[in-house]
Order: sequence, then C-alpha cells, then structure tokens
Amino acid sequence: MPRLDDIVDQVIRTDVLVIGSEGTGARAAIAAADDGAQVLVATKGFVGKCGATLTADADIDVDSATILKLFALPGAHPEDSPQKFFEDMVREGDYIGNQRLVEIHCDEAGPRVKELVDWGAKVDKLTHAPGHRYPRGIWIEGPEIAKALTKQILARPAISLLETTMVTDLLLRGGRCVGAIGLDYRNGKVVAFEAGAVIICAGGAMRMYRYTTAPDELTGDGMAAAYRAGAELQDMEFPMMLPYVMIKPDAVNSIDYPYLLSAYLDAKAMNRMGQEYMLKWDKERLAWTTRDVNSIAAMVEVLEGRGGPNDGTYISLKHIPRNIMENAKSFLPESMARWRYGAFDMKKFLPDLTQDAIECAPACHFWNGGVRVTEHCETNIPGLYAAGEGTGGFHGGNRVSGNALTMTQVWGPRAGHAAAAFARRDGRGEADPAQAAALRAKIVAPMERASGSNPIQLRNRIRYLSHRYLNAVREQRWLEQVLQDMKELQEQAGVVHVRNRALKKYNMEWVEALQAENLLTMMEMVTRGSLMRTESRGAMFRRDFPDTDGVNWLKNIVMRRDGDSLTLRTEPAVITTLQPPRTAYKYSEQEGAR
Amino acid sequence: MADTTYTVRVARFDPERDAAPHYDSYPVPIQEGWSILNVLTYIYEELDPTVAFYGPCRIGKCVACHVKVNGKTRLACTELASPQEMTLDPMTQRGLIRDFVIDRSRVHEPEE
Repeated sequence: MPRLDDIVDQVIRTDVLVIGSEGTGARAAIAAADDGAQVLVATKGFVGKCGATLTADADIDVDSATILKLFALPGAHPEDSPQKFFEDMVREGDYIGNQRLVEIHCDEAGPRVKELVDWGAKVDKLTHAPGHRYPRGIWIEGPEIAKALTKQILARPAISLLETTMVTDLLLRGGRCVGAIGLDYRNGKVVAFEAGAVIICAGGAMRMYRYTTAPDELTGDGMAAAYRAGAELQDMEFPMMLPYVMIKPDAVNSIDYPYLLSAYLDAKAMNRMGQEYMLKWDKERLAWTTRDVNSIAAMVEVLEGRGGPNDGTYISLKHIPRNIMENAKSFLPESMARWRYGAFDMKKFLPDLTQDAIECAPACHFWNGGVRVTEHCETNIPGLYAAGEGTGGFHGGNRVSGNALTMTQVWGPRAGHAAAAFARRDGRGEADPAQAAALRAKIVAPMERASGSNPIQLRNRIRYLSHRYLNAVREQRWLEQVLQDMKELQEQAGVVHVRNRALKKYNMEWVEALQAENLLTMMEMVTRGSLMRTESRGAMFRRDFPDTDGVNWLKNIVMRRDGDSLTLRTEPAVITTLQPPRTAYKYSEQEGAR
Repeated sequence: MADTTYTVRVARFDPERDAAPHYDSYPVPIQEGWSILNVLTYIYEELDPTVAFYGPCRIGKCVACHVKVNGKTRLACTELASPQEMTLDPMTQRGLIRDFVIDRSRVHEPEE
C-alpha cells in the first residue's frame, strides 16, 4: 500500500483538527491552542466571511442576574439565575433536552460571553425574547462576533487555517478518529489531515430546505461525516422553522422581515381566500402565538391547497390605520423604523402595506439535533469531538431565541480543552492509507464520471420535498412518500457528475456534488425520526398524532449507521432536577407566551 | 418566468491559465426584484456551472460578494439588477482566484 502522502495531494499533520471556523470552531481552536496544542482549522468558506454566526440577528443568552454582575446592562433583572434560565430552556425544549448538559450551558454562559466581550465584540443592548422569563439576550451583531474571534485566531501562532476546504469524511484507525479528508475547492486539491483529535463545528443542515435563513455552507457536512464514521446522532426530527420569511422578490428571498413586523404589529395571517387561519389555532394570540405554531398553521394551509401562487400564506397589516403605522416608528427597532434589513432597503421590496399583503413561508432557521455528545463534547468515537449547532441534547425539541450563539461560546471551548487533552495523552493518529484511498476516490468520482445526474437539480428537488413534507407539519403518508422519492434521489446521488470535468479550480458544481449525499443523509434522518416519533413536540407537529405524549415520548431518538443502513432507537430523556409533565396533552398548551 | 432576456457580459479570468480576461455573454431573463447575486446564480444554475463567485450569506453581512456592475463596485447580494444589458467584472484583479472570487484567506499556507 502506498503512503498517505502519495495518495492525496496534500497531508497536514496537527494535534487538533477543528472543522469549521466561526462561533464554535473559533472558540474550540482558541481553547485548544491555549492548552498548548497545534491546531489546524479547516473551513468551507473564508474565515470571518462564512457560517451562521455572521448572519445571526443576534442575541446571546445569559441569565439576567449574571448579566447584571458581569456586564451591568440596563434592564437586567437581579431575580433571575442560571437555575431559572435552565428551567426555561428545558421547558421550552419540551422536556427532552439533556438536563445535565443544560445545567452546564446555563452556568458557563456568563463567563464565556464575558470573554467574547473582553475580546472586543461590541454589545448594543439587552433584549427580552419569548420563552424567557427575564431579559437574557445580550445583543451583539454577528459580524462583531466574527471580527472579534477572527482577531483572536490570528493572534495565536499555534492556530493554522485552511480555508475554502470542505471536509467530506473522517479517517478512522483501530476504532479511533485519527483525522479527516476533504477537498480544497479553491485549487481542486484533495487534502488529508492526520490529527490527535478532531472537533466537528460545522453547523446545521438548514440548506436542505427551499427557504432558509442560513448561509450556503450549512449542508450538514459535519453531521453526515460523523454518521458515516459511526457516530451517534439524536433529535434529528426537530429542524426549527421561522415563520413568515419573504418569498419574492428573489433578492430578499428567505429574509425574515415579515416575521419581525409580525412581532411588533398586529399582523393578520391569511390564506389565499383571505381567511384568517390562525383563528383555528390560537384565537387569543393569533399570529402572536409561538413561532412553531405559526409555521405549522401556515404549512397546513399550503398543504391543503389554500396557499398563494408561491406556496406561501400572507401577512397583512392593511387593517392598521395610517397614523398607527406612522407611530409604530417610535417603538420599532431603529433599523426597522427606517425599513432597513441588513444592507437592504426593504421599501424597495415590500408591497404597499396599506393595500397589499406579503406572501410568506416558513424557513428553516436552526438545527436542534445533531451528534450525540457528553459534557466534554466527546462522541462515541474516541478522538472525535463535536460542538455547537450540529450537536444534539441541548435544545430538546425547540430552541429559545438567543441560545444558538450561547451554544457556540460555551461548547466550543469545552470541546477545545477536551480534544487538546486527548491529543496530548494519545498523540497524533496515523491514517489508514487504504481508507484514505477509498475516500479520495469518492471525492474525485463526480469529476471522473463522463455522465450522470446533475447536482444542482438534485438539491433543488431535495429542497422542494423538504419544504413541503419535512416542514413544521408532518404526516405518515407524506413521510412515507418522501422515503419513496428518496430512493430515486439516492440513486442519482450515487452517480452525480460535474459537467466541466477539466475545471479543478473553484468548481462550485464539484462542491455541490459532494454535498448531495450529505443532504440526503440529513433528509433521511429527519424523515425516519419523524415517522418514529408518534406524537407532536417542540418544532415537530405530527398531524396524525396531534398530542404531546408525556407518557410514552419523554425520549430522544438516537440514530447511527449499521452497515449501509440507518438504525434508530430511543433513549429516555436525561432528567436531573426538573420533572416534566407525564401525561398526554394538547400540543402547544405547554408553550410559553411569546 | 418572463421570456424577455437581457445580455449579461461576464468577465471570465483564471490568472494562472489565461493571458487576459475575456467576456462571455449570457441571455438572462432578469426579473423585477432580482439582485446581481440572483443574476449570477441564474447563470451558474441554468446556463454555465463554471462561473465562479463567492457570497454565502446573501444578506449583506459577509461583505464578500463584491462585483463591478457596469464599472461600479457593488455588493452582489444587495444590489438590484436593472432589467437591461449589463457588464459584470471582478472587484479587482489583485488576489483574483477565478472570475469574481477574490482570495480573502487570512493565512495562505498551513504549517506542515
């Protein structure tokens, strides 16, 4: 067998390999480097210019009493505590979050966010989001976080970067993770990494959906690679939807401006006949109910044939008198009062709201499930660690606002410390050349096939099916239909090919070809998990099982690979101090007020 | 989808292989409310998958999708495309990887 260096174009050897460079990955790399490890960060885009952290909208949760102590922000409430934060997080997650992990999360949030602020991330204000009993959202814009963390990475000589690199698979030897392999698509090189320990911080799989607030990279690569390596995943049936994003025009597709309007003004949600369908769901709060109920209600209209021309439903503000709309500027957030969203002037894209409604759809916003980890971010594979979005057990069935960023800051460092210790103890791993050769062949296969399926069409089909049938509402017959349709898609993914095979340098279609398998793995997990969970909970509503079943379903669904098939089992939810309701009750009755 | 198409001239350049940039022209059915990023995405998905650009966030936050639209540097994601002929060039030739992609990497080569 040839040496690894002869199999791939480049071999990089390091103590700790971190996959992903933003909120979680940067923190993991910093922690590992500060413990004395050599660290290599491989990231799919450019550092500070990719990933979900940057796009965050952007509250970071810490309990209010700790905020008062560490940040002295106006509005922080001394009666709050890490314990109360813990209770809210477990309750809003519909009681299937791992309480041992949630305790750590709430205890360590303050000190870790303090470090971020000390590194220069600018705090704007404190916000009070739904689901929290106290104001807990320390507002720091995503680009501020990215800037502060990038600076810390660059200040540490022990951290090296490999950008524009999609890690496709993990390398294993003797049951231990010893590295990874991937494509540096900027020059078309296959790169192998030999490491003492590997940390996956590659985020969620929101790009599986037609409408999503997430950036392009988020195609579930880390979770899918972990799965293929034999890692366990959990809670994969709970992708989180944000109701009411823009559909048209295309420039602002998936922007959640209508949702933000609906949070501040009395928006009416309507179907294509102009019926206010929220009356069927929550007579009192209507569109002011929780995000999940809004998403569910909207998708039921679409699936029952009452959606608009773009498969959406409508948000209308037409009934609000002009002077009330004018006065709204006095209490809307400043950017919204100026009709701004990021760098967009929304006036150019919205219809005349005194006359017309906005057609909207639910968009995938966050990935609640992922790789199953311990409190030290260990997976079931020695040497393999995971942290941040794309790990499971923290948010249970649903995440409260502001907790995605807290997750990056708390769990990135924990993973970094644990991986550095493992690498120090066990030394650098050595890859199995035969495995590396097989995985290299898989990477270059789409460039070697003279014909085959088109990766762009394939992902569009995946996104269409996911939007309709794996949205907030699910039903057995639709889920079974997805599994049926997936067989053909899996065949296509097996023969996916890149049209210009001579183009090695920055060939975007090559990257898409490698993502196809990952998207399908995610799709299968969501579908199979949803079929198994015969109840409605958190971000998932089963139309054919509309109750939350506290008798039979205080459980997590755990997934892993067995040969070539996905196997599922259940594990009881980890409960430490907060006892869940152990009865069956109507879905959404336990929801907190928005 | 409207049938009217507009000619979009796209600068193509791989500094490692080409002596000089050249333009490829594509007929694009530019719709009202399309951004320049929508135009590039249409070309990539429907006409020519070899066109290279970068701009993952799509909402003006990564600030990495600069394109010269008829000579003026703009963010591709937030700049509206007028339904008319246009010429697209990279922001700069310095550090150009290919077409519109500028090398924004912080550290070029990792240590062995």
